[in-house]
Amino acid sequence: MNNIKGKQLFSVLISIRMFSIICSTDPSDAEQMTGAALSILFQFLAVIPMLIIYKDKSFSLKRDIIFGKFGKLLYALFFILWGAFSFSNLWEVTKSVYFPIKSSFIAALILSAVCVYTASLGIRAMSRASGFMLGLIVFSLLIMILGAYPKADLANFSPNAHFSGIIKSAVKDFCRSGELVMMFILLEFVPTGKRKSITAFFTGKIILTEIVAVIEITVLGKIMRISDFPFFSAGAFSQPMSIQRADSLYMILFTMLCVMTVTTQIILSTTIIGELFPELKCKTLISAVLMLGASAAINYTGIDLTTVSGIFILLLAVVMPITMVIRRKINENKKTDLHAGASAASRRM
Amino acid sequence: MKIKKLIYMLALLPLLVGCDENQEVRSKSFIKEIGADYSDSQQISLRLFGSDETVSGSGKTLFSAIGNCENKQNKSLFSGHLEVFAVSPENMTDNLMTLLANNRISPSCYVLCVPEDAAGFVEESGGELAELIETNGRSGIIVTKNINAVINDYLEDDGKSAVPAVKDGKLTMAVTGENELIGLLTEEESRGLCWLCGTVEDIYIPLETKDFKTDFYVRKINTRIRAEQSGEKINIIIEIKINGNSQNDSIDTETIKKHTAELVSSLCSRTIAKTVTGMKADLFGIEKSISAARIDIGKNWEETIPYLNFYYKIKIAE
Repeated sequence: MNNIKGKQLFSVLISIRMFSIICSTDPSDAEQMTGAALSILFQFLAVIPMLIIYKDKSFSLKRDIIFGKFGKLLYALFFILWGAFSFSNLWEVTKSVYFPIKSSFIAALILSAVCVYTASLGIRAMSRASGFMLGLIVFSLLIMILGAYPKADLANFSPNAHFSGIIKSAVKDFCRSGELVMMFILLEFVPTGKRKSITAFFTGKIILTEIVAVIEITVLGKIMRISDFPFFSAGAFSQPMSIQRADSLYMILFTMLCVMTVTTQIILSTTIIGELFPELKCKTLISAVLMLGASAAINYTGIDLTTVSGIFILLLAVVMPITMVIRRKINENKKTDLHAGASAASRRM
Repeated sequence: MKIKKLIYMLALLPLLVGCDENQEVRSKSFIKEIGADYSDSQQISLRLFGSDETVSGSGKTLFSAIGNCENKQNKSLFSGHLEVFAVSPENMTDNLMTLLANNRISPSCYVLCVPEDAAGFVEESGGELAELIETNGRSGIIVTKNINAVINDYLEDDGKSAVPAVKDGKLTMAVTGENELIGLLTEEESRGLCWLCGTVEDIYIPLETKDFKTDFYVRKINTRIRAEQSGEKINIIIEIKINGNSQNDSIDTETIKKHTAELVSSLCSRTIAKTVTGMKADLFGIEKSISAARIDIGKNWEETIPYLNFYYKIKIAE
């Protein structure tokens, strides 16, 4: 019942990535573009163990996850943390970009209520909605490109890039790629076409990242240095018509993507919490409250958790799947040895 | 299950708080033009869409002045569709930064520098400033600039920007620095800047010699600024590709092309002499071209100027 199609997985992951791009505060430049491309290439290689694991039809993440309950807890914690980041992004954006709302907190509260409702509809409803989100992303980008074309100045692009800067950008990009962890769990719900959708996702991700960077660089130029959220500034400056405000479209996109991202986190954390504590009630609500609480704490303390999220992603999306592959290989070898031993013994008999 | 869903929906109802302070469009006025002067405080005049009258107000900041104007009429003011921001040079940078940070004003709106009495100029302009700027921009008299473009120029190393300005009731270009007017360009220098920025299209250039008098029609142009290092010097090559034709077929095409190229390069060189050498301003992307060519002579913009040599390549295609 909870199965999702490969295409839907692609749409969900692209939507989550797009939300990260929209909320990015870093200015785009040649270093960022190269760094992001390198990071995506690394991520593509890093997910190969995931695909190897899921190639085995008998594999079940629920049963075969490494570190058992502790491993599951780590994943649940990550999804709550990522949901909290999403709420923090919402607060930051509503503070910096002109949003016609009275209070950022109320906005987050309303949005969390919406997310609790959408999460209660289940993973299938969410994945079906992701198709619409993908359409909205493409439409918004087309409008942005249309508006940016007459205002874009290629001279704003400076090809200067230093190796250290590229590496720094690549690490930053990796730390913001929480969708890798989500991908690992969501793959469990995709019966066929895993490899195809993952390849399409990474292709889409690199195209999306570079297109937005090119728009930001060519349209904003040096303004990017003083802009809080380059995507919104680029959207504001690349108006298709002189006095029309296409900003509203990007605000809608941002809000919808925020709902999509938080809903995904709630669904995934609820699923894992359900496995850990089957008797627990109101899991969806508890996840949302935890996310809001964590987000409030992050905002209040002002701590930068980019490194923490990077470590989490590395551990949950790279190290753990690799360990699981190695463990399976060892088990298979053991089985083969045992089988060979048994056959030899029976032959001797 | 149905009751559970109903409870969810009912719980969402109190969240529809956005509806309690909604404003009807008829209770709003849309600002079309703003003229802002600065002495001790901001003095502004606003022109609203669909109105011949202007509203004046003052305040310590731009938005408090707009608020003051709002109190003088019976509708709430919306600045999201602003077309022209006419401003005195004294606090131009500060005002533009305020507008950029605030996000409530369309960043696509035109910026116009009015050296004296910007508010009065808006009052007397008759509400057609955006059209006037567009027409002059199309005719190759001025380079139109929006808030984004002006601030972008200020953030370059030279910290200067060319902004359309009003001089003796006519539009020309002004070179401005941070909250100051550096100088106004003559009509010819302003036209030269349009050629250097590549914004000329659909205009007629009058050509006059001892032998003939005719017009050269310019369909469109493409300007490219390129930098090349030559020893200690940096050669700035200005390539202008003109697509157009003579209006008099009886005159030799090569002669027409030669005269057109001479005229254009003469306009450009006059502009460069005034702006680059005289005002130490980079108004058409010289620094960017140097950076794109990866030339680094270890000097800042002003120190680089004596090392610049300008060359023109005018190509005319019919």
